[in-house]
Amino acid sequence: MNTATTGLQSARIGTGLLDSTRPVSFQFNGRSYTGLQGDTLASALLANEQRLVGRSFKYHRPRGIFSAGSEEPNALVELGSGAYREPNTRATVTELFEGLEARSQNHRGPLSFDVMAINDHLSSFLSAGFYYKTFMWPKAFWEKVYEPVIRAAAGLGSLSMQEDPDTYDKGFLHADLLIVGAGPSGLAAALTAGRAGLRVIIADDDFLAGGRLNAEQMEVDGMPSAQWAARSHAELCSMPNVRCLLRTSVYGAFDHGIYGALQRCTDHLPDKSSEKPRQILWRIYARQTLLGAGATERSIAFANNDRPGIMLAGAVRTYMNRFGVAPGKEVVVFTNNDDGWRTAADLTRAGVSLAAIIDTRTTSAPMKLPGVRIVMGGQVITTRGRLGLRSVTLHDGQTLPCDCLAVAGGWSPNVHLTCHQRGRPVWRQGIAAFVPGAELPQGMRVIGAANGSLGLSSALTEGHRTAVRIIEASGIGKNTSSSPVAEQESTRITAFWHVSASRGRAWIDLQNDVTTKDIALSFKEGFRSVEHLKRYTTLGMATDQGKTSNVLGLAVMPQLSGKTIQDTGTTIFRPPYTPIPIAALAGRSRGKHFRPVRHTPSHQWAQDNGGDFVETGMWLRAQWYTREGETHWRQSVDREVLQTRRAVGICDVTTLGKIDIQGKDAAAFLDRVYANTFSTLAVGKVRYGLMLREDGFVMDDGTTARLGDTHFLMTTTTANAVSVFRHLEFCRQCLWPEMDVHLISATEQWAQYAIAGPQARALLEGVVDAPFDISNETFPFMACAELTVFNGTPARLFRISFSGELAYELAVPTRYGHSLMEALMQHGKQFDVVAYGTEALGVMRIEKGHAAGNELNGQTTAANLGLGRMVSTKKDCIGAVLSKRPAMNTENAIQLVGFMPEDSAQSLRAGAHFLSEDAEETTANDQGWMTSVAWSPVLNSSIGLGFITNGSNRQGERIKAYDPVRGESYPVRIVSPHFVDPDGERLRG
Amino acid sequence: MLIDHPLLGLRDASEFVYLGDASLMNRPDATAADASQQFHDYLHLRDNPAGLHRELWYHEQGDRSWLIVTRDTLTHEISHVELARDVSLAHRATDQEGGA
Amino acid sequence: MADMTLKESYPLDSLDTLIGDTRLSAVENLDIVSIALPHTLAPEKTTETRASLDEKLQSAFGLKLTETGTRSSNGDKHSLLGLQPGMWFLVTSRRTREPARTLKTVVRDTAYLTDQSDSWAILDIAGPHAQAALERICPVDIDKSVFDDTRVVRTSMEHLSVIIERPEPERFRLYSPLSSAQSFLHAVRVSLQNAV
Repeated sequence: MNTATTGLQSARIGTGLLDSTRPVSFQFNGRSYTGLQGDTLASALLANEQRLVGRSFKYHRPRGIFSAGSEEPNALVELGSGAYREPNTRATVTELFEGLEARSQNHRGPLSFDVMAINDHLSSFLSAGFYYKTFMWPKAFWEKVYEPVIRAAAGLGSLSMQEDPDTYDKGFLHADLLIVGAGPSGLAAALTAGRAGLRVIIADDDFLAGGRLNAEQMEVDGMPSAQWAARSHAELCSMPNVRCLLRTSVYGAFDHGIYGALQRCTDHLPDKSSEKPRQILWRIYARQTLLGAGATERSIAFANNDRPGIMLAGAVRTYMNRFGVAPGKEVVVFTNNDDGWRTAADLTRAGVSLAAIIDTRTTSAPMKLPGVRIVMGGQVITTRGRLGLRSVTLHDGQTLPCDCLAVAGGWSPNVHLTCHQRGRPVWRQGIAAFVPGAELPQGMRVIGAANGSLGLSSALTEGHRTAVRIIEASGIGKNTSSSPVAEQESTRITAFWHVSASRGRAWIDLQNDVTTKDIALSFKEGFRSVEHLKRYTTLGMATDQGKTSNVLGLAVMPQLSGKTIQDTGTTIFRPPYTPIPIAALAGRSRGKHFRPVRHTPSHQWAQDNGGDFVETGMWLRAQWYTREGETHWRQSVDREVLQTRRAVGICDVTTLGKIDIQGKDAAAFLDRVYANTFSTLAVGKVRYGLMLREDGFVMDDGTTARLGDTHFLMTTTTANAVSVFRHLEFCRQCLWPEMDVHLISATEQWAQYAIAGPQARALLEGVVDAPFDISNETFPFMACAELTVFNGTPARLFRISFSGELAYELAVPTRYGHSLMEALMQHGKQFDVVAYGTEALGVMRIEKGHAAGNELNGQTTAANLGLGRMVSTKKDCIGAVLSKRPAMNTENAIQLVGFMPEDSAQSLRAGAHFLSEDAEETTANDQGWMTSVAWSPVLNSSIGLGFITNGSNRQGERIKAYDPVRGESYPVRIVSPHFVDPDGERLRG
Repeated sequence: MLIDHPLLGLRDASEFVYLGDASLMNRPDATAADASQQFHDYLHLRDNPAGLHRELWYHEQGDRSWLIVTRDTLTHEISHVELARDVSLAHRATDQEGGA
Repeated sequence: MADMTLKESYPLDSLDTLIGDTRLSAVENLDIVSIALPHTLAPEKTTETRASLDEKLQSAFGLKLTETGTRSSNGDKHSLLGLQPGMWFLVTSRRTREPARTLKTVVRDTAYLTDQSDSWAILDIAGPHAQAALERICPVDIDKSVFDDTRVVRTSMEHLSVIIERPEPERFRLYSPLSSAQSFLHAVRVSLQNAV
């Protein structure tokens, strides 16, 4: 091998599936290394004989690379720097790229000398339930002492604490068939289904399709398995009906054939400045799903089985065959099954020194390995080598020097996704593993190793055969393929879990540092259920979700209880299968794109004229318009109120919900949804309407205009526009389907402006086209008309008033909204017109005593609002019956009234409660509360609206306003809620 | 979840708004002598079955139809979906026949 | 009398841009009127009214009433979108300031009409990456094998209500509420940028 292109890479024994012409330089803990294109970070580190890569979670034990896939519990590193830093990334699935920076985690001081490793010597104190037992007392210590210390000591990597500079996206995919896993079973199924014309999505975690086909020295259809995988993948990519998603983890199976998948798009690219999303979270809708997720190898529990250099036997093959790396110079294989022997065979074939193969079984050796020491019925008792394996000690006391121990404990099918709808795996003795149970997520079938069908030939035929069945059931196409052919390797196993002769800690869960002792202890302390065992010991609760450890833990437990594994059972899995960044779940919904924003057509005008915006729902509304010289919002609001009440003001009220209601039964329908009557409303008139919920409380209010015999226009509050529409559709479709009523939202269609103040009519007379007449006689209070304005623009005019002034609302099609606002302001100059915002609108409605959102809070009745007489007794309507409930109609019910402070310097505050002046400040003495307050520039005083017991009969009474939240208490006087023009002379004038 | 809309086929549940028990369709007669009690029961008393449940969903981000969805609350399996208006009309027709 | 006239303005402001090989353009010259079929308790009567409405629309525009979720069109001039049971949008190129009033003379008492011309921000997205872009935001299956020029769907994209149709194999038309036009444009534009 040419060292010039590969750097040092002293453990490189071949090129595997790598591109030997493309060296890739990267850094680990600040040191530069070289790998090859196609390496993972883990394979490149191994190629450079960097085998110590991190420290364990609890005991800070030195750890190396344990696996070659997404199940990795040990080799978690921090990637990137600055804002791009990402902790807890598995080196085994991190694709190497030029300039990659990685750092080990969870140590203080250098990786080879971690001061926190003291925990390892304190291990007898850090056993299962340590935190639960130790930090219970004294209670007050928890928040201030224990938790901060534990938080500082626990956790693996660290966050950058900067905003994530990457972008993320989401998307939706649809398929006749989703295939999870592009291993032998998945590829065989995809070829069969794809050729038949089904819409297929095949997804795999890896950046190379093939799964174990790339890790083994096997043949399919007469060619090397990796070559068959590449060829099959290329064929699939060429089919327009097949979508191949590599670097994509299908992480969850949800209801009705919906799957979540995370596609990593740019993580493997050196250039981080890409504008493209880093990752895409796909929601996949699949009619049928094939789970071909393969199987994960597991370890055997023996003392000190966690040292760097101890690795799964299948991973050893992966590193040799796919990555051309020898994971050690002197290897020992420890196995309980025939598959472990294939590692030995591959090592021998590659010329790596194999010290011995230790098989726990007492049968004869399943294959001949000339020159290799074979120990049948053997066990590894313990190991040595603090920073890296140096030797293993066998049951007979012999010590074998080695720097790599390949452990083959058997393969566990990756059943995770079968559990996401509460499916429970079942034990299969023949392969000593849990396989998918009978209850699977809708539309899912399991194929290959994931189904417990270990062996290449089984995987290929099962994938093909299942796809054929799906094609036949789909009625879409015809099968034209036959099953790929391969030899079936031997997978015989005799279950063996725990070297009981081992003294010292034998690891089960490497990531959460759970040992056989923890399991024994929790059993001794009474945790019998596997669910309790899991939570008490934290077995399988780390980011790897116990992929390599769960089965081992569940097998050790019954050995203690004397029960079988079947009877002990298993915990099940929840999404996600692999960790999903929160940023990917958020997708684009970040910052100002968190949710959509709605603008009124004159938004730009408002922006150009000092508008200060407030969010009301999704709408942005101008709350006031700041003029030059105004330094406090109150100055703007007071000016807007006073000028409106003195001359004329214009307010954008486009955001009010508008519902176009038509039909022969429209009037009758309104009678049923409003508490008051609308069938008596004349065409060309508007009426205030009060809408109740069926429980008799007020839901919403607004005005409804009768534009024609069968045509009404309803307005709703801005906040309730959507829910009122939904309610009306419910009434129309579910309650009274016989009625001829049709609803459509007109909120977006019209730009609408309130024009209020003594000069309102004068202003509008110059706006409304001839021959329309808006004199008080022909167009009185509560009149409405369709007309034209400004020389021909169609418009609707409503004479309604929220401010209590002579007022109109003028609506034009939205496209004219901006222009209308400009024209009204320009034309209005001669009348001293002012634009006012929602704050002035609020002040004026409080001055007038109109209820709004604070009063219509869902807990108040028509009677509470002083509108009890509006609830017609002559007809049924939604809420009519239950609004008559005695408890809602008591004599001392709360009623809406006005309040003024006794001391004019006192500001009222909403939320204050009312009490008799001399009453003790207790809940029992509570008489009501303040709902809305404002500074009235007209009265030169703070004023308020609120509910108080029997309020309308208590005007003039002095009471106490008590505000326990702000610690205030002050006297107020009950007054009429109509602070301005109580007789309504202005609005009728 | 996916809801098999009778007119539009399978649609994502995120397009829908959930209301509750389909018995909300059966609004009592306000003129009945015990109307108050009937309305109380109609509004507040619900079965909470572990199993099949007929419930109202509104296709707000779709065709604005109210649907009656029969869903197994244990498995989320949806076995039947009807247009609420059709059910309501059919109900009325039966009532009228019964009354005639 | 003020000597002024009002000018039209649109939030998408005649946008017409090419992102990669795919074109994104605002459509601002359409009249949209919703057509609701009166219903009665007697099914025969409703069927009769529907037939009469169908006939009137056919003779005026050459368009047949469609089932919910489907559309009929004659080129780009007129199309009829079946959005709800008994409710359609008639989409025509702009001809009049008050299209509902004009259409009333055609349909007379066979339908209730509401002008919707100002309610929608409309985007055309046309080109090889149009479908891939919309996959990022559209939950409904819009693959050409199942979604062609006979289909119309109302769904939600990025929290916004959107009507989507596919008048041509490589051109989609999207309608979303006008007030959130900027958020809508952002959603579609980003989708296209991410997909090309």
